[in-house]
Amino acid sequence: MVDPQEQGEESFSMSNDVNVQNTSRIAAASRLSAIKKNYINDEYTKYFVKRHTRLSPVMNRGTYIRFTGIQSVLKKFIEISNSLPSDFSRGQIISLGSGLDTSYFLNADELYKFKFFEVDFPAVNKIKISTILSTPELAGKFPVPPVVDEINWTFDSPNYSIISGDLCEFDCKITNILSKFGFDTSLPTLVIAECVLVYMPAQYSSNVISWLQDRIENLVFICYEQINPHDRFGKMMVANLKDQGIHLKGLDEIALLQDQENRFSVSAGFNYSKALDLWSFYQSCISEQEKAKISKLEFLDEFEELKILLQHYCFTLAYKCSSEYSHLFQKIEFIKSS
Amino acid sequence: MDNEHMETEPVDQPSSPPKDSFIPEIDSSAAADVEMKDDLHEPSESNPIVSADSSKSPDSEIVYPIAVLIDELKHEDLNFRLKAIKSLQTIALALGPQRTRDELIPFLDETIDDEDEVLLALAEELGNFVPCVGGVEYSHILLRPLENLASLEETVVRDKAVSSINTISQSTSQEQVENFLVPCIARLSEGEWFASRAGATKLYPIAFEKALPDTQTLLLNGFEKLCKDDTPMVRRSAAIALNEFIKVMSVDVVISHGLKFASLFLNDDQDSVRLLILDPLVSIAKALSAEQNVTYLSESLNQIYTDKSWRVRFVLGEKLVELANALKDPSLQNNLSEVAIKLMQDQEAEVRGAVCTQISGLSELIPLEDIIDKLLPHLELLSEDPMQHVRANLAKNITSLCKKFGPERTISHLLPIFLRILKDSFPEVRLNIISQLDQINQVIGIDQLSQSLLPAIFELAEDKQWRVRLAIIEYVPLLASELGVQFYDEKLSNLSMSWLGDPVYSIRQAATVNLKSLIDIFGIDWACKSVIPKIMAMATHPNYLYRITTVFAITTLAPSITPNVIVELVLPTVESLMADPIPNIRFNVAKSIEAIAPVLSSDKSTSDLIDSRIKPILEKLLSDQDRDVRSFATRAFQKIDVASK
Amino acid sequence: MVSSALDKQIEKLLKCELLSENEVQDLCEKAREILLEESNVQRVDSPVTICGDIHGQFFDLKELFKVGGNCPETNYLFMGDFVDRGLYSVETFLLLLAFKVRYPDRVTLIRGNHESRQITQVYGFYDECMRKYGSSEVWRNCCSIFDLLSLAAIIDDRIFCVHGGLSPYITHVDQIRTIDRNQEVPHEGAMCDLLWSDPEDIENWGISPRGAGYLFGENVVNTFLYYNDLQMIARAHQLVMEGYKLMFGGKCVTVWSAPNYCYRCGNVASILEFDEYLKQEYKIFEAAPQGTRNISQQKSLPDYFL
Repeated sequence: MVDPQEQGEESFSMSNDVNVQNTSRIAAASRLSAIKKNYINDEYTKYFVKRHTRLSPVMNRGTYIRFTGIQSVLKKFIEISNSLPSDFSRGQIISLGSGLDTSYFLNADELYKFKFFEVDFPAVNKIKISTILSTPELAGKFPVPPVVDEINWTFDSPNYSIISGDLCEFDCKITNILSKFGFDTSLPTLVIAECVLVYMPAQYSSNVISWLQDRIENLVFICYEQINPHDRFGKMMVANLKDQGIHLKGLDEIALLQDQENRFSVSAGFNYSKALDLWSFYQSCISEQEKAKISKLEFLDEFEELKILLQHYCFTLAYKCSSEYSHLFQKIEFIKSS
Repeated sequence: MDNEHMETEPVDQPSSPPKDSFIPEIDSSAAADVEMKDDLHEPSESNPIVSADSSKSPDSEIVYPIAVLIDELKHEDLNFRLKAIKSLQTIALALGPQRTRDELIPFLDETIDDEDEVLLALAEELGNFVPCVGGVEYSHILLRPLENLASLEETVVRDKAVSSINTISQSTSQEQVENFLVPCIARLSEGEWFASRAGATKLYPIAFEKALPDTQTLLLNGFEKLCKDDTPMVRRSAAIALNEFIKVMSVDVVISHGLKFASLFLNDDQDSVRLLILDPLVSIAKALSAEQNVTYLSESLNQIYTDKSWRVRFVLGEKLVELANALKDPSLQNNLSEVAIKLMQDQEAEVRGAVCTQISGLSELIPLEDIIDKLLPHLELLSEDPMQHVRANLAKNITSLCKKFGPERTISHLLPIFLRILKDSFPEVRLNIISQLDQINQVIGIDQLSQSLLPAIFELAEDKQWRVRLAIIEYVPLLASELGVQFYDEKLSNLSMSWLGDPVYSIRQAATVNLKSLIDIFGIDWACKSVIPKIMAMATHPNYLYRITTVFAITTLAPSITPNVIVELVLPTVESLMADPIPNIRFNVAKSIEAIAPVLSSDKSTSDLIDSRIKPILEKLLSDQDRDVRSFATRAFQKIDVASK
Repeated sequence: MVSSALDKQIEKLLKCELLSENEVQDLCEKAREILLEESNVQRVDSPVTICGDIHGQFFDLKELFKVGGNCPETNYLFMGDFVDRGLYSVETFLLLLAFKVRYPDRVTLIRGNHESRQITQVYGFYDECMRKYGSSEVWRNCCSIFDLLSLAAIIDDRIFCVHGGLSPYITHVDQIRTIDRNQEVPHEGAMCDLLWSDPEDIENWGISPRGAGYLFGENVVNTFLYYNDLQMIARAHQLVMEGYKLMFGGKCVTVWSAPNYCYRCGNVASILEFDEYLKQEYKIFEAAPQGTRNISQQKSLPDYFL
């Protein structure tokens, strides 16, 4: 094969990729399906989804687990920062490939000390920002009218900013915009990356991680995405998604739980890095009461299928911090539910 | 045990409601899991159809269908709402054209806000609604609801609405186009929401075709704006629409505008737009002459050949030959073989796979020496490509070169590649080339084929994938007929017999068909010596699968066996198997008799055996304890009786 | 008895064509007569090929016949879950039912947990009937047939076949025979357990995560086999990526016959042939190749998390 450099392959870019951008709509529709079945309490997603699609119980349950995992890390991070004396003041949260996610709105009341950043493509953010502006229930969350740029599709308010761009240009473009919007690398920072890094070739996602880790001393990373592309289910998953025009460009290199953990290595200063597939997370980190509660919502006929599906998604949780934060950040670690 | 999450009451046998009821037919407690639609619209008071209830209407019978329609459109079950949409024509028929235009269409326009599936059905129905509104002269009435549907975000609905507008517009007059379609296009093109502008793009060709010259100019300007739209989705729709647009343009307009639009897309910063330009380019090339292509397209072509996005190169790879043929000019075509070679080395597997599908077409465009010198080394590399689907594509297409290569060069240049492919680790790759053996055979002849490929084929005869084995079996009669009986007995006979014991039913079945073909080729004497005794021997096998295969084989082979051989070699076996403990064997004996009897009765020397040997078998089977045995024996008996009369 | 109308229906169904509502009703009436005669625990003679879940994967069912042989040449025992999930539950179930009516002694159908009104309303069969017929008539006819399906089968007095597994309420096969099976699958009790339980590496009984049926361990199986003088249990009900799974030293086997389950799981499928000496042979098969199925690419629901 010809050397890529020689051929002059253009630098990888996802802003062209309609199908990847469309995933944010699919994700929101999936969440709405779980909301309608009472797996998830979220009164905001409905504003971002035009039409309701009913998904199978196995999908709803998976969406619930994904939601629960991310929200619990987010809530713990907020709790920790809020528990600090006020001179530690603020923390910040940045959600990469945030799509139509409603985490900000769900936690708005707790986020008065925080700045919450979201980064996604302009085409996605256009929908998001327009929806926020045209929906009183959402716009009402901002007492001071937000500053909106309808050319570059950015949105700015004291606690919440939406920034548009292509994550493949994270270090050269997005970080500049972020700093203009007040992104402060000296603050404790939570990074949320839900189904986003896997769409980028691994060298691009590692650029994102290393930029953040080089500059931020107290950093928590929660990542959720596909894994295990090489077994029977994984091969079918990759092929089916490819048929839908969705290429998991990063999955070959970051294929296993171990690869996920290695992204956040000790040598790069991370104190903790743990990857759990969603089945293990469901088994060990969700309480029996909670499981009993959700199992009543909808009848799930088949556990083998749920298991194998969940084994192809994982949470990776990692943090690095200075010594005064270490006892706090420990609280974020995955805890086995008794 | 916790069962609370299941519905609390088991469903009773539902008593059937009257057939014409629109009440949900399932017990609602059981249907709780079937999604309820929660944004049911309330019928609007101001709507003429709703207010025209029976008390005000002079003719309540006509109102009735609309009331039903409204009811059905509110039904919580999506399927009922769909059904309602699909019965719109019936309702329109009951209303008559006038009321359909005045009431039904506005009602549909205003009231419907439903799920995509319902809207999709509506968009489709409206496309066939012209007769319901009173014929072509009123067809523009339909543009109103369709225009709304054509501006929806959901692509499927939008596309259907647009295609319905296009269908309707096929037959509309120039006046209607000028007065209704063009304004409709203008509104959609100016729409704030990208979806409406995207929907507009596909309406330009038909309007352009029918409009007055001045309007045509307006349309070209309008389209150009959409080509430059901020939203990539709109530009993508425009790029797709351009292909149809080119086809209705005169050569002059293609040169003045078509090329300009194409070049806008070629320079788009989104590869998802650029990759759509191949089809319009082909259309432009077709519209222009060879010289014009050189003059106007050379630069654009070079640009697309070197596009940096693999997606664009992928589409180029798929359409290489189509493009070459449209270009007509030899120098441009020649250039394309260089492009093909580059794409074969592309770093993206998808691109390499795509260009493999073009091998056959390319071989007709490129001189033989060039194929051998330039293309072949790369094809060799592709046969060892790391990606299996690239190799699979190559395997399916490479044999198309044989014809051009002729026997000698096929043997010297292509066979080594074929051999490598036959040994590929991936079954689909192997299967793809086996299914093309015919093409190779036609060129090099069976002798050469067998000498060079037979060892590889033998290996595949025991392939783990049964479809690969099946492909090989189907090839055996041809091999045998060409190579002769001695070769068969030495090399293929054991194989053919072993397939009769294959674990897969389809293989055993194909094996019996294979033997029949061989008997037809080598004759009955050979069969008596080499095949039939072996098959009959299986009738005493302890495993019933072998015994039943004997019966299947008898049924299949009978038409190819002579009466006396049946009497001597086959009938005793049939008689022994009719008492087999397994009923499946016994009823297949009855079936085999349906095949044997005509052979015996065809010859005077054996026809009396029908009564003396065959009927007694069937009589025995008729009193069998198994009903299927009795049933098949009855059938066989009837057939014999019919034949004898 | 040989009905040419029935043969024509089978021909139609083999091409994956729908029967008319009236034809379905006819077929169901004939099936009712036959099934009413059958007992809760159907007696089956070897040789027979047993099959696990099919789940409306019609073209994969045809693949199964290509590997295992056609009906009636091969005797089949289908262990339930004919419908739901796949795109062709209607065609799949009606084809099997038509075979059952045409060749009652060659085909045995036992009930799976998806042969139920409630489950089919969640997992697709009901919606499919509505989509294909525009009314629930066919669904209702099929459901009333579900109620009549046998609960278990025993091959040559040696092999116990059931969709799910064992029940703590049942120590002797005769206890199954006393169940009034003509009803919707209850939420608990013996009938429910037979259709819902799973074998598991535990002692005795455990709570099933499915919320219905139980988990049962090796000692439960051994006791049951001993009391009833049986050799093994064959069941379906659980997705097995390799097509089949033997447990408890070969005393219990799971057979799964839906390859690439839900067009998503990537698994292979299997059928289990018992010859006339009850020798077992497992046949693995894959999903029908793309070309042989006409998946109507409807707007498919997202089936991955994105």
